[in-house]
Amino acid sequence: RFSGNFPDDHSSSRAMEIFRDTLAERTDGDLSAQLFPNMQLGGASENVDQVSSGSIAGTWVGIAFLSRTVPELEALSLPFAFADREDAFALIDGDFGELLDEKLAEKGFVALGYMELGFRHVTNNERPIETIEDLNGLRIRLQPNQTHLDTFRAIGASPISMDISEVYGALQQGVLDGQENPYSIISTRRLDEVQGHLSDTGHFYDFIVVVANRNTFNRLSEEKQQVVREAMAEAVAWQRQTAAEEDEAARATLIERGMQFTPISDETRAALREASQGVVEQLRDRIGNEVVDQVLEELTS
Amino acid sequence: MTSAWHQLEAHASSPVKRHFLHGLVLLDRTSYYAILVAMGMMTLLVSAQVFTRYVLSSSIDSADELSRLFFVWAIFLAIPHGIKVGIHVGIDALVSHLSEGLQQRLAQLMALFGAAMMAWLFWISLGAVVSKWQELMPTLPITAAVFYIAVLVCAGHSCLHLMAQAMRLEPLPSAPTHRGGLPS
Amino acid sequence: MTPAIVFTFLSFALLRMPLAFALGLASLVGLYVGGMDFSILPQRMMHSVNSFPLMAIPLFMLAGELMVAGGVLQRLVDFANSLIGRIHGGLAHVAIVAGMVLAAVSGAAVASASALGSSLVPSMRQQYGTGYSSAVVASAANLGAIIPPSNAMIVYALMAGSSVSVGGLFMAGVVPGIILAVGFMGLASFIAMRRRYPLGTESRIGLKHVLVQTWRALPILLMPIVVVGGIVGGAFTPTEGAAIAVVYALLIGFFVTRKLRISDLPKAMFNAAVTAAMVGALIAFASTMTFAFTLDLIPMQLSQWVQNFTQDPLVFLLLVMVLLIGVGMFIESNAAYIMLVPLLAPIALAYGIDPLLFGFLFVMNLVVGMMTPPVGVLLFVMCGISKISLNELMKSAWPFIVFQYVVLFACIAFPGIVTWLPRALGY
Ligand code: NA
Ligand code: NA
Repeated sequence: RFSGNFPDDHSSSRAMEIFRDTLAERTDGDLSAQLFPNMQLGGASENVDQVSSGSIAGTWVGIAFLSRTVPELEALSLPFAFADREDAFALIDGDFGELLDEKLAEKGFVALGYMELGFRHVTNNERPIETIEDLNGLRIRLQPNQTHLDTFRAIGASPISMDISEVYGALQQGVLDGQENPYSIISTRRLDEVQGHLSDTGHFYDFIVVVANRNTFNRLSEEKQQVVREAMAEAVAWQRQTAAEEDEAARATLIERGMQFTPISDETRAALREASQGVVEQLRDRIGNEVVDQVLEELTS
Repeated sequence: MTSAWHQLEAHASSPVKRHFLHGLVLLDRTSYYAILVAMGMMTLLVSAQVFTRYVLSSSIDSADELSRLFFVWAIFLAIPHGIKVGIHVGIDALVSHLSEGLQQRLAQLMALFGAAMMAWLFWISLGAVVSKWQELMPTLPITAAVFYIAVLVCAGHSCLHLMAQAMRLEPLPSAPTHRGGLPS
Repeated sequence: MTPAIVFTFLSFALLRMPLAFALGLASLVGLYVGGMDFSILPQRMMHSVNSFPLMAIPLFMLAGELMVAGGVLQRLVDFANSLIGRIHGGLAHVAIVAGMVLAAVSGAAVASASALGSSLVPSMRQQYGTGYSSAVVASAANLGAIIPPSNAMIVYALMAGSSVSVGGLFMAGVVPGIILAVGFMGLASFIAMRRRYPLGTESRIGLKHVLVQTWRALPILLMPIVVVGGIVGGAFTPTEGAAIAVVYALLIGFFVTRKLRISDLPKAMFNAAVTAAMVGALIAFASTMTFAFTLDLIPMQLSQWVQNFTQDPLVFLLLVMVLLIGVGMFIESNAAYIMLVPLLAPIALAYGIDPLLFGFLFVMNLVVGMMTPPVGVLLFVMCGISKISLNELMKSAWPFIVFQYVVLFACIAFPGIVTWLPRALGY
């Protein structure tokens, strides 16, 4: 049994369906995965609890919800760190990914694969984001994550953490000026109805991790474990490609539906990265120099 | 001995029962003050969040999470008091046809089942607290298990009250009598 | 797991075990039979209560308690009496009008019920009896989820995906909401006349008297404008609005009526917490049952069963409505949206049913379900506030429930009631 908080039609949920079908096919129905997307079994942090206690075999979930258990995952939230998604995948499929797998294993999880949640971009109702000053004082909703909040404070915005279920109403009523999410989420949550300006800040890149309970997974024979990993690898490959296509399509849709799109210039991006350096230092304090250095090193090589 | 001890003489005949009730009184009193703190902090945090947003144009990072924490605590701490004053909802369509004595017996039996369920829940929650102990909350350096401790406390406290009901012991009011008077 | 859960729950519930505990026991038995890890119970309990929107419940209850302690109610009652005390069922109309006003600012029926209930039932019960007063308040509160804004509609739209827009669904609720409110008032007058309820204490209506009472009640009448206006105007979210209501009630109590004392606060906070805890306990214990049903694929089987039944959209729609009436009886509404909307909304789309119409009917059906026994959040709230039994409440509530279902089916017969306004606004 796998639980997820993404809607049925999200690329990650469809990738899990591919995983399920492949798995059933390759094991002649010996192994079957039941999927419960769309928060059917509770929200993201609850899903993580369920996998941790073994009541559910696995979950596909935004990586932020595991960073409470494995702080090293926060190194992936370095602001303005990734130039493109290839960079991000190279990092997660490389040595750093292996380190994360070990850390997750220590906490009783097996990481089966990393999918794309996507680059996060700022939308708002006040003005187009042309320079770093345009972010000044904007009340922007963020996920309840210290690094995210600190980053936005560092670049001059007023970060507000709020449950996603309240965001639509809060934006509509003007409680918030803006929010930040991947294009696909902005589009499926219909936030374009309550937001005028769209940008491509790409301040964070988010992964979806598929984790299983380690004990549940280890009870499978070596052979079956291998089949599970292979089936997941196929699903992940499909998802990464589909997510990239949908990301582009979602951006086009948002513009088509009337949002004003303002790309971030290179200077502005450099200014933003510069302004958020302090956050990198704080992250070093929190999760250790080694991990942060490793990420920065692997990104530049 | 506290003043509650003397009032208890009217409520329980044997010393053992009186000790049990006395312990329950002290627990109720502690929980009563904890509820006041939780409710107060919750209200304060939510209104402060509005205030800081407008007046200071900023936001308290942990306000959302902390207010939810106090909310969860307020609810789970208050459930045992709800049991005590008997404001829980049930279906009495069938039972109301029985004789008064039989209804009483049945209520005691149900309280006993309830107590057993709460004891079970207490045991399970203990496991949840232990396994969650290492994990921290996203914006605060506190263990994430504090949420589950609320469930644990609720289960234990409720179990004691349901046991009291099964033994037909009437606990004293939660609020100190010299201050706010009797609650509800 | 499902049969074990249903059997255990029904057995204990019929033996007059408190529903929350019957749900808890049934969940434990279900987990045992299903060979599931017991840790699911505390997990579900904690996570289902750990929600920011839910926090509006104790806050609105606290505001109500403070208004009672601050002597605010008497002024409101005096005002209402001076104005419509000569109309049959006067205070019931006050409750319905207040419910409509509250509905226009709050998204949650439960929060409306706690605010209205704790501020109006104490005075209403003196004139009309507790059962009838609670039934009127519960019905008035039901408007909260139908007249925009509505949390239920937001949840529905999120679950249904891109075929339904939140704004469109909001607008769909306006006309039916007004019809319901007017209908409730008519029903209240009718019942008041039949039962010969007292007309109120005013001998006749005098302009000067009305003005005096209005002036005295002004700070209280402004409260919904500040709180509701703040929420609608975008100053704060509903939960924050509830906290503002608490602050506002404190200010009125201390400085306007000057009847509130510091020593009143502990009692108000404690009572609000205990009342909210009753709702919290039900939500917490019911959540595991929902979880088990989901694992057993009960919602999916239900929807397949419906689909096998018919190819006619109207028959399908009626079947869904009947199904939801049943679901609304037993399952907490948020759980029902989460389980059923993703399954049924795409089928409805495939049948060619207007997504806004289907969405609205779905929401309204489950909103009425919050008032139907044995599991009805609004009933629980009202029982908690009024301290009456479910039976006693149901004796007065059923005409209001039947009326709401009549309006529901009228919306199916004349879909324009629902779709006209959103279509006119371009949704
Ligand atoms: Na509303
Ligand atoms: Na119901």
